[in-house]
Amino acid sequence: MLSGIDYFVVIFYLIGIMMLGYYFRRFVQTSQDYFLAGKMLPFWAIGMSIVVSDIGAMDFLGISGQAYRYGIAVGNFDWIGSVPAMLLAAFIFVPYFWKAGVYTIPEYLGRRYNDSVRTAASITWIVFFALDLGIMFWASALLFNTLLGWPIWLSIILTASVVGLYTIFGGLAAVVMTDVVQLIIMFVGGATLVFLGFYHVGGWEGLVTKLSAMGDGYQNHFDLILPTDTKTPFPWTGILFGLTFVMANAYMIGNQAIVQRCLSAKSEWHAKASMIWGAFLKMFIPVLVLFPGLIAITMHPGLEDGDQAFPMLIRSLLPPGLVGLMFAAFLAGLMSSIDSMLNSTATLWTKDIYQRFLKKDATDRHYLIVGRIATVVLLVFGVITAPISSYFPGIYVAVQTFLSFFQGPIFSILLLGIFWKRITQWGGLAGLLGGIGISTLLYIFKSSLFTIEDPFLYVSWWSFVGGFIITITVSIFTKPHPVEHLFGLVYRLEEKYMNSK
Amino acid sequence: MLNFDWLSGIPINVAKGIFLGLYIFIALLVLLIPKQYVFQGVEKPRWWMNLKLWAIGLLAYIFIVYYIF
Repeated sequence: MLSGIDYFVVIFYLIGIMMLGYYFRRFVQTSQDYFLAGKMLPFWAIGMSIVVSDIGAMDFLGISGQAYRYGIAVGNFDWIGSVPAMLLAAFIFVPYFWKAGVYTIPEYLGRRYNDSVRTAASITWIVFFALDLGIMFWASALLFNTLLGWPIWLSIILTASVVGLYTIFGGLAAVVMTDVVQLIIMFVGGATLVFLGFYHVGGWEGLVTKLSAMGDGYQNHFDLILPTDTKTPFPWTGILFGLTFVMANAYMIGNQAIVQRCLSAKSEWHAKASMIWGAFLKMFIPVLVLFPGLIAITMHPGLEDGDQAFPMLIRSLLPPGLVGLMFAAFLAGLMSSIDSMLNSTATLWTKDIYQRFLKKDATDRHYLIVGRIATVVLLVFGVITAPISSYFPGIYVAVQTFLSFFQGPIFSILLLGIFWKRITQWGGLAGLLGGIGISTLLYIFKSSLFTIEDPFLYVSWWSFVGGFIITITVSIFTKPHPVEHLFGLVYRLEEKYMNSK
Repeated sequence: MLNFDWLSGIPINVAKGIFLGLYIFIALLVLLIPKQYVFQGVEKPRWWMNLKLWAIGLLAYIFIVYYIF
C-alpha cells in the first residue's frame, strides 16, 4: 500500500522523533527531572501531550468504526466525556496535586488516606499498564501487518527501539516534547483525510443528504443523544451517569499517565491551563476520527467490519506521500501511548513501591537509575508479552474490564477525599475495596442485571455509588484525621481553618 | 433499576435539555470561582490568562454542538 515517497515520510518521521526525544537526555540530572521534567513544562506542551497520549493507533480505527456503525453518538466520549471532567480537574484536583508536590496520584491517596490505599491504587495501575503495553504492541503490529504487510516482529522491535531510546534517556520531558510533534502530525494527517473526504462527498450538505437517502438504519447517525432503549452501547442515561459523572472524571483525575504531565507544569497556573488547553484540543478529535467513519458509509457502504472504514478511506482518497503521513499519524498515536505508559509505570514503581517499601533513604541518583531500569524492564516485558495476546482473543477486553472495576471506586474516594475533611483513612480503604467488589459482582451477574450487551457505563456508575456510600458510612464510624494533617489535601481547608481562628 | 428503566419515559428532547442544562450549571460554577484562585502562580496577570474565560469559551462551543445535534 505504501509507495517510495510514503516510506520516506515514515522513516523521516521515525528518525526525527528519535533524535528529538534523545536530545532531551541532557536535561535529566535528577529523579525530578526524569519523572516530572524538572517541573519546567509550559501549559501548551502538556495540553498537547495529554490529548495525544489519550488517542492510540487503534482509536483511529475503533472510533471511526463505531461512527460507521452507530453514528456521531460515539463523539460523546471526547465532548461531554472530556470537557466537564477536564474543567473539574483543572480547577479543583490538579492545583491540589501540584501544590502537594506529589509524583503520583496514589501518593496523594497515601497522604490523604493511608499506605494501604496508596499501594492498592499503585499496584492496580502498574498491572494495568504492564499488561496493556504488550496488548498495544501486538494489536498495533497486527494493524501494520494487515495494512502494510510489515512482519509483526519488525513493527514491534521498531516501535520499541524508537520509543525506548528517548523514554529511557529523556524521561518525561522527552515524552511530552515528542508528543507535541506527534499531535501535530496526527492533526495534519487526520484533517487532510477529512478535508478530502468532505470534498469527495460534496461537503457537509452532501454527506447529510447521502446518508439520509440510505434508509432508516442511518436516521440516528447525526444524533448525539440516543434513547434509553437504543441498540447501541450509548443510551443517554449511560452517557450522563456512567461516562460524564464517573468514567470521564476517573480517567482525567485518577489516571497517572494523564495527571503526571500536569504535575510537571512550571507553575500552578500552567498546571490548570494545561488541562483546559487539552480540553480545547480534544474537542477536535471527534472531527478527525468520527467524520471519516461517516464519510466511509457513503463511499463504502455495507462493510461487515466497521473498523475497515478508516483504511478503506485512506486507500480511496489519499495520494502517495499523504498515505505516508497518515501512517506516520498511526505511529504517532501508538508511540505516544506507549511512551506515556512506560514513564508513568516507572514513576509508580519507583516512587510508590521501591522508594516506599524496598529502599527508603537512597540518594536521588539511585532513584533516577531505578526509574531508568524500570523503564527498560517494562519495555522488554511489553515486547515479550506481546505475542501472548494472540493466544487470548479476549485479553484486550479483559484488561479494559479490569480497569473499569477500579474507575468508579477510585473516583469516589478522590472526590470525597478532596471535598470532605470528615472522610477517614478506613472509609477510603473500605470504599475502594467495597466498590471494586461491587464492580466484580455486577460483571459476574451482568446478563441478569442489565439489558444492554456491554453495560460498562452502568457498572462504572453503580460501583461509584457503592464506593461513595461505603466510604461515607465507614468514615462516620471511624476516627477523623486531625485537621492539620489534611492541610493542602482538602479543598480550601487551610483557608477556612485560618478564618475560623 | 440498574438499567435506568425508570428514566425511559423521558422524551429525548427533555434529555437533550438535561445535557444543555448541565453545561449552563457548570458555567455558573466556573463563574463563582474566585479570580484570585484562577491567577495563582502568575506574576503579572493579563486578561487572557483568566482561565474562567477559557472555560466559558469551551462550554459555549460544546453547548452549541449539543444544541445542534
